Amino acid sequence: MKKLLIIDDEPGIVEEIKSFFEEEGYEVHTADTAKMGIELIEKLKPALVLLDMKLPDMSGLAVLKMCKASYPWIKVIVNTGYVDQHLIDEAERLGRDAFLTKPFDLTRLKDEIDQLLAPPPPDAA
Amino acid sequence: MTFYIVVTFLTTISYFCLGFFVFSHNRSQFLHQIFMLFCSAVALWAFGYFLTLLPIVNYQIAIIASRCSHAVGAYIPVIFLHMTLAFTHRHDRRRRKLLIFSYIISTLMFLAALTPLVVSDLLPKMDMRFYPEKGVLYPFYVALYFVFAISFANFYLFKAFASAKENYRKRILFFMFSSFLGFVGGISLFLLIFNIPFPPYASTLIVLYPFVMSYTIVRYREFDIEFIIKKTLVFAGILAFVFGVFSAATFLVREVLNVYFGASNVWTYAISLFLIVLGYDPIRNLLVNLTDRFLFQKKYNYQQLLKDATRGMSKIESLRHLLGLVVHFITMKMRVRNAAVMIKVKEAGEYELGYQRGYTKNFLEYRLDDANPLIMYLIREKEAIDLERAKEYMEAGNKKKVRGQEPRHYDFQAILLTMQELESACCVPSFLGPELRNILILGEKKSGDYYTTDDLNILFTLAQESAIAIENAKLFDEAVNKSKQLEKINEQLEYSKNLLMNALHETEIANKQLQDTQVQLIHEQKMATLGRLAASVGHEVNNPLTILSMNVSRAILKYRKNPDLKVAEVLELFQKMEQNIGRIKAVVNTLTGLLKRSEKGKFEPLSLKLILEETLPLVQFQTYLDNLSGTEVEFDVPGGIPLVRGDLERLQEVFLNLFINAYHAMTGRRNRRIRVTAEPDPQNSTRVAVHFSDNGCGMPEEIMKKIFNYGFTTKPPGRGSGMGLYMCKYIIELHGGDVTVKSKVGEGTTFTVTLPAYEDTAGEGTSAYPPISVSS
Repeated sequence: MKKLLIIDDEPGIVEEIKSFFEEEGYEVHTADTAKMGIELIEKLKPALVLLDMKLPDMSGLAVLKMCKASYPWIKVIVNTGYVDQHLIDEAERLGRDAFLTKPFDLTRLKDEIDQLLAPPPPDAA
Repeated sequence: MTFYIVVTFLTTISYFCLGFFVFSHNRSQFLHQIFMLFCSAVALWAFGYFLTLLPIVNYQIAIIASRCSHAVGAYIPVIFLHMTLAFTHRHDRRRRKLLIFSYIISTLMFLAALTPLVVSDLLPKMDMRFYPEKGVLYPFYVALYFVFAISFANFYLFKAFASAKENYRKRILFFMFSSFLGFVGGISLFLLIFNIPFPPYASTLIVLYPFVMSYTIVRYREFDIEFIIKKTLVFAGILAFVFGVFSAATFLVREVLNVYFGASNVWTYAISLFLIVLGYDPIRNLLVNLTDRFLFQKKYNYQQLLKDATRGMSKIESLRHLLGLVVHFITMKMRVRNAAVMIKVKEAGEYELGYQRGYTKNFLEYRLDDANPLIMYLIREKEAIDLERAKEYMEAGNKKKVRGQEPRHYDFQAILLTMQELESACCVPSFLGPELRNILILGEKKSGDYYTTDDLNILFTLAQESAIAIENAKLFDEAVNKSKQLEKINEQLEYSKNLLMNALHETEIANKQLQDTQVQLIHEQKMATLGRLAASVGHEVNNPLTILSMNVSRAILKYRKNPDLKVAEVLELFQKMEQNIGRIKAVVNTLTGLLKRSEKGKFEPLSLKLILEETLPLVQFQTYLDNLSGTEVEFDVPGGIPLVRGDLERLQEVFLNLFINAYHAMTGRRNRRIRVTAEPDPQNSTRVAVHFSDNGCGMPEEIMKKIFNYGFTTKPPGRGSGMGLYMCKYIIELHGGDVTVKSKVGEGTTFTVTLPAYEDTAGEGTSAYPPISVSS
């Protein structure tokens, strides 16, 4: 079962995503601080991390940086409620796999996740 | 015989005249008085001889004249002694007894001489009709001369001579020499009295005495003045003329007129009178000219000298030229080796050697102050002084005696020394009013002569004339200097003015730039505020919106799976949706409420309470970002606090900043508490004070000093623009208020904003805008 990790401090959002993807057959874990997020990444080594940029203890960028440095294969979808060009650039540089701006809906999120976690297409040759 | 008559006659006349004129010239000097007495005595004595020898005199008159002559002559030696003592400055108490004793002896001898005890008879001796024959006391009479006039007087003279120096020594020598002549002449008369057939030719020497003495006077100023001698000679000449005329007239009447016309003696007088009246003036002029030409060749005509000098001085304006003229004039006309002028330096109270000529050095630097004995002498005595006088006074015990006054003491040794240093033989003070302004410094005369009283007098007059001219020249120079200085100052002023204009221009430019920068800053600050606001709104709205969107997606998905879905199955989702829509609504309401009232750039009466209360929700949006919600905010703003005058939007920015600062100061602390209070400023009732206190980390002194600086921040890079407090202060100052801070590390920080109360600022024009009442 594929593991998802949601790092976000907005409980409403976390709850919706968690219940939706559990229904879809994912093992969903959640963290509401960057610190906790990093701990869980190291412990669970999830296939994908949904990461909010605005966290109470530190910036989501720090989590992204750590995650991509230690486990480059873990896919990371960054999301934010406020479009800050600096933030977007920084996240891209650090190797985020997708970028979502709030508000986004579950369909959109599912498409992104499915695309990222799909096995590489077999060689046409 | 006629020879002796002439000699005695000349003796009488010359002594009498000399004595009289010396006395009349300076009656106050004791030496002059005693000299007059001496001359009178000799003159009377000689006159007695003259009468005795005169052919027309009979025996009775001749013997009386001879005895009277001897009687007066008895005083001659003692008067001479007295004069010698005065001359050698030994006229003191100890010698007074000697003098009194001598005068008593002389008086006894005087009385004796009136009797036949001294002159017993008159006998024809040699070729003379009558000549005194010695009486019993005659040897004593002669002894008087030997004891007093020769022994005592010469004893003192020698004694003085031994201790005297230079010039004074010479003077004593001359004194002795003239006395010697006189007494040798006198003694020659005695010889015949003792019937020693030695003709009294030597008595001619007595006549020489006053002339040698005169030479002493002229040469050494023993008594003043050559003109005494001049007058004596002229007077003697006129007397001789009168006498000659009378004799000639007598001869004419007797030998010619009487023989042919039998004219009486009346004619003698008439003719004499006629000739005398006719000849008096021409003869007098002739004698004056002769004495001038042969005896006192005029070195300079004083009147002309003064006139020339004054005329020259009045023409010259520049001080330097004038001093040059004065010094040149003196050196050329007075024929002195060197000369200079000392000028009072007003500020220093000193006298400085100014223009100089003929000095051995190129320029002799010399300064004297008021305490210098020379200056003291000149100021007090108000007369010129020369080396000779100074030496004379020094030898007289360092005092200057003026009859009728206490002798005044000066340090003449120091005066002499100063004069030597100044290479001066004569110093002439020059007064302007009572103040000593200049001193003419004269060196030795090229002739080697000494300065005469007349020299000193004329120089003194010249010096007074020059004082006025020098003062004028000084004033002229000062005026010229002042005008030059003024010109210079003017130039400098002009230059400064230009500098100032440039600076002003630059300041204007700088000011313009500053204004531009400030506008820019305000704009940036606004954008930053807006940015923060946008970020906060983004989160605050986007989060519920995301949930809302997810809920909608889930509802739709559920419906797709099961088209018979009942509402009850998704009610939970709808409830969540409603909840999040409410959240969004609240955010929007707050924002619109806030923005509604911000009318830009207007100063209006504002209620602090309202501003603060409305700022708080905005703060909460912001702080939400920083996870500081849950901070306790204590709000104590009384409703009755005076209105302030200001721009709502700006003041909100400020308060927002202060709130946020307070929040940030408390990051990572428990029990966070912000206290906002407002009160009328206790120090100034026309102001209102708002305090923002937190119980955060506080800050040290060195940071507190800098927090209002532009660009200063304690936040990590990227977090703070460093504009917050700088802008706060700027905005509050725009409102005529002030921001201050108090802080204690670990205890918290209090910012205090003071703003002018509305009522009091209305008339002050702190704003270009008229007050507008706005409904809140």
